[in-house]
Amino acid sequence: MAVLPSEVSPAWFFGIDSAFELLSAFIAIFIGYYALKVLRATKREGYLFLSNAFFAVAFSLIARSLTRLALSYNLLQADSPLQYSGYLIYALFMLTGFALLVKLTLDMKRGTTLLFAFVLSIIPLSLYVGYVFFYLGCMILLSYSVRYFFGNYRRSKSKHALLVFLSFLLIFVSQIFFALIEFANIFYVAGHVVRLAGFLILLYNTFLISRAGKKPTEAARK
Amino acid sequence: MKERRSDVEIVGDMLESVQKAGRIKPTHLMYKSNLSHTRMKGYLEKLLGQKLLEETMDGGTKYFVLTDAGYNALGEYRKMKAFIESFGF
Repeated sequence: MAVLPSEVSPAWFFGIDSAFELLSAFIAIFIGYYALKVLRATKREGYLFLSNAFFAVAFSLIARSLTRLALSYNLLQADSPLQYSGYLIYALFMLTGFALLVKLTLDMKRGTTLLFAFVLSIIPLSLYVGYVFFYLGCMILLSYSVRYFFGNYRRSKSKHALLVFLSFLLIFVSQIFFALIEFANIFYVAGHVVRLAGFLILLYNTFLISRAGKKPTEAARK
Repeated sequence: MKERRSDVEIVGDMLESVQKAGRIKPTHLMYKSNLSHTRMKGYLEKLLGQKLLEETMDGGTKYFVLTDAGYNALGEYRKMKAFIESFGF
């Protein structure tokens, strides 16, 4: 079996990585929930995929975080079947979330089976050949989202679109850092920091959106 | 081809038009909302029924204005529009 990434985390970062993941998961749930609201209001099918994508990513981060916490507090043995199950859930749901975004950004009517076959093929590769394949797979899938959101920003010139593009760009960059974990522990930390930054930008965008609905003042009404 | 507007988007556009004008005549609302007379009548009935709009008269001319509930609804619509703009779907 391949070495799982948590085993190369600096000792001082144990616990902090889980906190980062839980915070990112919370943000992803929030975005997914808001996408559901938009789906209900507009009946645009895209928001079903968007909400499911974010919920899948949130679930994967929670699974990973709980596995890591259990390892930190010796509730779980390293190299145990439970640890590998935690990793499997993390990998499967993270890839599924990103694949749903690919389906959405490419507006795929066909080829979904092929897309998910690609997703499923990455998991045994990452377990038996090297975890770097998981991060490479994430990068391939995320590259479509980054390209789409950049195009969305260019079309709309809106600050909201810019923030979403930047957040996905950072999440993409974080995968590069994670893929380089083997060379230095610092990449593990960098990956977590950059990924959290990406999710925090999404949260900031949601904050700005909530202000977009602010009631005009009485003076503005008159 | 541009995606067809949902009911919520049409109502949102109508509320935006009324808010921008402050008060608006029915014909102007129809043009601003890009709706036929029949369709606009249907939406207006809903908006008036839900008390998001109210009618006022000024010198024999009918106008529509937003109620407080209408402003709240418009706020929610703007949030939704900003979210849609963020992701572009």
